[in-house]
Amino acid sequence: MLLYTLRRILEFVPTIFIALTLIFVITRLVPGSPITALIGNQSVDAAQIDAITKQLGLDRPILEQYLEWLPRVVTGDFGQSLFFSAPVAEVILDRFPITFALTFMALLVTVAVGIPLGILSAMRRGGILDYFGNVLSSLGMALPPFWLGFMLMLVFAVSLQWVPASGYRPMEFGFWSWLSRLVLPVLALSVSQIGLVVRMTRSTMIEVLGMEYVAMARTKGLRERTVILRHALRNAMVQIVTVIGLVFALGLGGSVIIENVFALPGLGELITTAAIRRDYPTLEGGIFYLTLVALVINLMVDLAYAWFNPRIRYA
Amino acid sequence: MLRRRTVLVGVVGGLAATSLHLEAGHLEAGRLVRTALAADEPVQGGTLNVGLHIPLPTLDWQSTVGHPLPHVMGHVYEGLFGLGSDLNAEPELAASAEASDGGRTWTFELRPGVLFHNGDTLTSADVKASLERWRTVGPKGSGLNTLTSIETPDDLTVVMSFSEPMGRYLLLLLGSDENKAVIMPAAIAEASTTPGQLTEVVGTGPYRFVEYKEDQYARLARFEDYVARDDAPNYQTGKKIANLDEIIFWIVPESTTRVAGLESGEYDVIAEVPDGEATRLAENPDLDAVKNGPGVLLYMMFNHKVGPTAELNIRKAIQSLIDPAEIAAVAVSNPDFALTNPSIYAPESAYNTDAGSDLYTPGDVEKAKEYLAAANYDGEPITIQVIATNSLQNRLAVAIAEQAKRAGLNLEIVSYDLATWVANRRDPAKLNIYTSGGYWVDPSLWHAEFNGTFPSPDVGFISDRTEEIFARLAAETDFDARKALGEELQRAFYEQVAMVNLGYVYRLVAKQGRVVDPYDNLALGNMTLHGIYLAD
Repeated sequence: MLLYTLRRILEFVPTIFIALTLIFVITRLVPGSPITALIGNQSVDAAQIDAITKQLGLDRPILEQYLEWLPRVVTGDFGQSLFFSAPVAEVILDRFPITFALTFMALLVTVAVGIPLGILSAMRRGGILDYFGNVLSSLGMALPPFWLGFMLMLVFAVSLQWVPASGYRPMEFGFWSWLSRLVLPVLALSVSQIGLVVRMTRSTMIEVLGMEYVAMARTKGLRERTVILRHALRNAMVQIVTVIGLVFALGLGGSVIIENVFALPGLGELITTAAIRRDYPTLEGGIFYLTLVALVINLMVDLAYAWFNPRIRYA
Repeated sequence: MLRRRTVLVGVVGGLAATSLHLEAGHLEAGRLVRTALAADEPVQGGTLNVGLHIPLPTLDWQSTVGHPLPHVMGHVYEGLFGLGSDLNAEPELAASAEASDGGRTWTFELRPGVLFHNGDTLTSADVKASLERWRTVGPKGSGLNTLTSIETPDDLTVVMSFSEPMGRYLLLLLGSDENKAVIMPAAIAEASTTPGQLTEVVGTGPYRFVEYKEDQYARLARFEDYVARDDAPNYQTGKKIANLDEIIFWIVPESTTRVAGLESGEYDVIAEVPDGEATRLAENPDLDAVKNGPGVLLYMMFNHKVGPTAELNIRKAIQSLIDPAEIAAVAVSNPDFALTNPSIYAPESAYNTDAGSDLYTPGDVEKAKEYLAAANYDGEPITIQVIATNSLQNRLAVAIAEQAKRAGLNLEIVSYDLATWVANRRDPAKLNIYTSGGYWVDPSLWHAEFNGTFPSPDVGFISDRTEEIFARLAAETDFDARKALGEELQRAFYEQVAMVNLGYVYRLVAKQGRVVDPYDNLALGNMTLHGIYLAD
């Protein structure tokens, strides 16, 4: 298992290298200059523009910038944000907990609702629960999260006034103040994910429940609960874990929109504004962080495979 | 429980000026106010939560015309002069201002005992250092290009000397809340040499700056030692009353989210509300919809130096074919928020005039065709550049392109993100046309945009005739004479098609009914919260 883990970690290296190179190239291929975005409507003359360009190192050839940039960023040093007057790592660490809380809580809700509903749908095929699960998963996947976000806001914040409509309060403002502002974004993000998990769990469980060893277990007189949870679900988990990993990565991507809708100052919102402002270091750092998290999730999924099915680590 | 009323406040004429740069598409406007009746005694205390539409690009108000700086920093900083409720320049930190030597010398006496938020007392040295910085870093600082010296004969006297006569326009230049010439301690002004970067945010206003959490909120707290004027409250000047303990400006870019936050009680006041929400909000007994003026002119800007729009007949064709009634229909969803008016000065300005309106013949397609023929126009594509995320600009561009087709003008819409749009706007090889918006209540305020350097010297408009009018305007102090010059300027603008008037729109601000605005400040210009209190 240790060897398997080390091998998977080593495979990170080329992936990270490719990701970093793509991040660098794409941000510089986008038209528009950070200098223009930086000065905005401020009164800056040509000499000052030249000075800022030089100070940021943007006057040098792209390849030279890349060769200076790469060794620095692999150590996590993305430099200073052009807009925040602070190191990029500091800016990201300030925002990441919000995005992490949002996506992690959305994942918890997804798993807590999606897997049981998928199992029940598979066990009671054609029944009311199955019908409900199908409708929920179809709706969840069809409804755009931003639209759902606005609808949730209108119902639960404006009409019922159960929770605030938007914004973010750090934990220092109180636990409920913090949590209440995450309820609607978490719901908006998790509904589409639940749809995916319900569908995947249901189809996998149906497949597994039709296998001979499940029939054997039932023939042996095992309780249905034991058959489902210890025999069928464990085998189905390889596929379900894959979807959960995918869902978390999708959640990180989806947070960009949800954070904008709910005015949450998370990493997604940071990346969006950094792109608009051409804040290269923040943009690169933000995307890299998300990439890194996605890779770590992939690693955890791979390790979970090996745990659920030991044959995988020898493959 | 408070009773409410609907008040129609006619915008007072008689005024001077301010200009508002709204390039990313925020609109301005008029004064149909639905407001709560002021309670007898203002309530002290509480936190006012304000929903703003965009983050602060910088904390350095001296170095930018960008929004939402005036909304936030207008409560922190003060200038020698500020805007009164008639949008005229009124004394703020100055006790008096006197011109001598035919307008070549201006002497300002400062109010004694004014304190900065750091506890220091305001002196003439602070004013000198602040004005020196502003003329260097401020987009409007070029208005002081004839300034030869600033002297400080004593702690409360500032003398500005000019090489050319300077009229009362100087006071408006210093007091306009777009890139205001705000006063800060000399030590901060001298240490903050880079535009956009202040070592500290310290002003003399009724609220002090506490913190800005990037893209999240800006927090202000009442300055307990504020030294107020003793004259009557007058919009951004006069006696400023700070009833609130704290003001928090939340950054909420999505307008739907801002409105939902107001309806759920999270925000007390929100800015930049889509006008389509006016009726619905007004029907809510707990909320007030405030139509905000003065009218914002939507206008079309050209590349005057290179390409097809450098040709006068092409610009004349465009000026003729534009139909503002159609433009208004796409610009606003509530017709109460649009107005067609031939003047380049806001409908609420005393300078508003129909001079030159014989040249303003909206929707005259036949005339447009004649101009195109005179220009030997061969169907060459002309681009109108828009910011992809700016829905107003996009709607305007679509309407304009459709109108252009009727005259046979091939207008293409090209869409960019904000940074590229700003960069291309300065580039003579890339720019043909863009649209913008703002309000001008004094002719001189047009000079910053039409002096040949805006948005860059390679594309900007300048002409001998308009320069001569601007010079006379700068020196003239008599209102009637200035009004005549304003008419002359407007005629020159139409003759040379410096820009094209697309019509006026008004903004919408909304608030909770419990927010009492006794001086109707929310109906006017940028957000001014002096005197506002929470009724419960």
